[in-house]
Amino acid sequence: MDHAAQIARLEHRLARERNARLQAEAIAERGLRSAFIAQQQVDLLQTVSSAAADGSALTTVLEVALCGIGAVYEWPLGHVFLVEDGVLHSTGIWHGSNQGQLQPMRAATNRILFDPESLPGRVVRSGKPAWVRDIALDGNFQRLAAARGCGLRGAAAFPVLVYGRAVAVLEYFGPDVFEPDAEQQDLIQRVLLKISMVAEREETQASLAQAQAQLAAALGNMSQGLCMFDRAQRLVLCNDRFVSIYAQPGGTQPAPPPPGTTLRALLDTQCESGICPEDSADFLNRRLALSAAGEPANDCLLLRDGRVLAIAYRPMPAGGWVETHEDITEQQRTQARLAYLAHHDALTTLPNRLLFHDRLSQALTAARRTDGAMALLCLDLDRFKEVNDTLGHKAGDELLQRVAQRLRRCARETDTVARLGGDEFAIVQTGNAQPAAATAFAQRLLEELALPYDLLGHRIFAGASIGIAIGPQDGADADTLMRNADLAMYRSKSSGRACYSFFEPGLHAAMQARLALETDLRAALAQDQFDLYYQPIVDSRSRAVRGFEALLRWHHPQRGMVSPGEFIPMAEELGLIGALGHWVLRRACRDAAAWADPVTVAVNLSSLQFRGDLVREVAAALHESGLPPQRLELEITESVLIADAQSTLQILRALKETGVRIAMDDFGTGYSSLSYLLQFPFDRVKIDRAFVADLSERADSATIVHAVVELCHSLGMATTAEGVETEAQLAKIGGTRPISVQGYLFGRPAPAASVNALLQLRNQPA
Amino acid sequence: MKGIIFNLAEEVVAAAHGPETWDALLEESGASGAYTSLGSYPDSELIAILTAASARLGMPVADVLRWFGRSAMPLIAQRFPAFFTGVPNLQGFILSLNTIIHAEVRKLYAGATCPHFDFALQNNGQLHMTYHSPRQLCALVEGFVTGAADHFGETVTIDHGQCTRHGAPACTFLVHSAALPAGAPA
Repeated sequence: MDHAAQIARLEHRLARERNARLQAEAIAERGLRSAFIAQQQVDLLQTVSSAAADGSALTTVLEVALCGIGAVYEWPLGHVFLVEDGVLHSTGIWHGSNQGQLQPMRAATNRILFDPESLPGRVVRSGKPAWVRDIALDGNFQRLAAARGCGLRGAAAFPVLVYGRAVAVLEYFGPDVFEPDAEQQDLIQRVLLKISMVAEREETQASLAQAQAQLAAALGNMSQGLCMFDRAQRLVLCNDRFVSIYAQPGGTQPAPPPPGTTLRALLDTQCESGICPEDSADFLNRRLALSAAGEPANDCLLLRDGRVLAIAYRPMPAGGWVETHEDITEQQRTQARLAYLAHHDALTTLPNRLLFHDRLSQALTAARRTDGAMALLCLDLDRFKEVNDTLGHKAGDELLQRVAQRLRRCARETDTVARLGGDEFAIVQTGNAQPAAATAFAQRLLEELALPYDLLGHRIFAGASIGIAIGPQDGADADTLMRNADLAMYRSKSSGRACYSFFEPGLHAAMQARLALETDLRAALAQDQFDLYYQPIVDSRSRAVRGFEALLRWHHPQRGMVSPGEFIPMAEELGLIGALGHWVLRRACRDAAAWADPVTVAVNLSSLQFRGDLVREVAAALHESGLPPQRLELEITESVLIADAQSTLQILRALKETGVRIAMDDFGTGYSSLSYLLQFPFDRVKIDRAFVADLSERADSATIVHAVVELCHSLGMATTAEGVETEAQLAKIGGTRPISVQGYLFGRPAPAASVNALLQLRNQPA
Repeated sequence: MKGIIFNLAEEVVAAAHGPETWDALLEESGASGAYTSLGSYPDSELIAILTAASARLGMPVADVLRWFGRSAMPLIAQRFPAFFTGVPNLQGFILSLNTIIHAEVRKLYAGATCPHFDFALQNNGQLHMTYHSPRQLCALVEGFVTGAADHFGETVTIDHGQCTRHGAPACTFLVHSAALPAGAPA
């Protein structure tokens, strides 16, 4: 073979071998490169996966993923945004060197607010990755200047989604155009999914933590104790209040029972703590039964320390139940107090009208059922208004309390004593022996109530008037019986007070008549039915007329003359006495001004007139009539001074200063007459007719009369003896000094028209 | 050393001096001669071949390396066109060494111990490079840079400052490149 040909052949072979080697190398290189890339991708997924799996925080996983993707694709700059409520927040998570030429892009990213059309904004809005091949051609790239200055060209951003909502955005930049292939997109998508799982987990944990915090706050701030048990009767949870309710009062708060504690163990502990009710077996059985019932239930528990708990059991749909424990001690106390207040009088703590009506009905029903009887006593204080008006409400209240005490003392356990309002009291007396029992009871009450009261430094007498009705004979129902007992009480009042009366069938009619009279009395002043009669007051020696006492008369068109003893208390009760008294003053002054002789005219004042502007009324009456003040003599009784001595004395002094004379009437019938004489310089004292009436029979009466005359004389006061009817009486009075006398012996009260005639007859010198 | 360098050397030597010269260098150096681009071979074989070449071609080893680097660049551009696409000039190419080229090299050649460069752009546009490599192939770096300048049609001057061969911890270069005047041969 030709050497040259052989060499050529060998060279060809060498070239073939060399080509084969180059091709093999190229194939191997491609394979290695793919293997490398595949490995890189596997490594990336693995790194992100393990970061996600080991419970790292979302930000950590984001950083791992950001740098991992950046390294695989050799993107020099990467960044993470977090999205809150759709707003992008730049984070401190970056990929790539913090030094050098990319720094301006970082600064720009940190600085700006991203609009929705920016690259990350678009990603948030769409929830999809966005690739920008060349930011210069994007037309809407916020950081274009900074990016170009840094030599960046391609960009991409990827959302991390939680339930379709972007919670974070990964953003990358590179110096080259970005042309993603399917493999690249797929890998990034898989990494994003892993991050999403972490974000979801974190969000779930956050909302779980928030729910737990809310639950804890709700449970911790409940006023009720709450505990929850599962279907196996094991404690799931309980709040602090539940623990404190069952803790010893004043002790330290024990640790809450751990979840899983069985109901039985919990109850046993409560029994052992000594806080549970006395009967712990009953407590256990009740709690166990209601817990296991599987139905809503409510229970009430009285603890050994006196507290009351309301427990509510509510089953849960999935088995188990919830209990709430509420301390209702105070609530119950308040309710009991309210119930008590609704049925009792706050001042005296006696049952009120409401409760009394109940008791009365019960007693009536019982009496009817047993064919027996019961008594209803209605009671009204005789002088309550006076005490209240003169000593004040405090004294009035005090009096009512004392009366209540006395009534309670007199009543038996089975009787009901009530205050119906004002000074009205009522008593239900049970027991069949009627009316004997009620009679004895009423008597005992009157005796007890007649005793004086020491009120705020005053000694007060306040008797009572009692009306009695026997049920069921006087009334089959409570209302009728009540009305009839009231009628009987009014009769007691009108028959002089401090007494008791039984209801009688005719009483109703009598009370009707009284009512009619009251109606007439109200009209009488307007209809000019009143008149003044005058009784002469004469000198005991000369029998010359010194003056007249004006006496009020009522001419009723049908009834005829009505007794002042009947209508004056009624006028006082009805509040007519002020107007009536004023009328009397003016009429008496007018009449007296027309008398032939300038003798005095005496006018009686009611204690009630002192509450009005008496001084002005008197001045007006004098002014109108032109009567000189010294001819007017105002008569008051001791009761006027008893009521409110200080203010009364002040008025009396004012009156006296005007020149009017003041006389003490009915002297000797009261309690402390002599002290009154020292309190005020009366111009005259009128000795009560009772002493005069006794003069003929009793020698000591004359002594008293003379003593009073002497005493008054020494005090500078004139005296008048009232009720002189016989010459014998006059003779006994006639002591060492002449005084004034008054009585039938010298003339009965007569109409005004007869005064001048009498004056002429008596006072003309014979 | 990766086989690719031996392959490039074979191609450059064969192209300039004929395949028999390469065969002679192998014989003279006692190197094994069977190289595949993906394989790794002792650095000593490359040194031996270089030494043989220096003797046969009558120039210092450093010059051999400069010549080889410069001559290998067109072959590299042919074999790895991706390294050059999108790169505007020599400086851009040099700056992509660490991040792109050597990163890519590592993808292909598992276990490749690529050198590392530090860069600092001077105000006058010159590029200051620091070369870290235990192999002390600073002349090869110069050759590659010159070859790359040829590729981009630029003139380049390389001032090799410090050198590990003279006891410095790393080699430094100041690279000044400029585009060739229009009409000048590439």
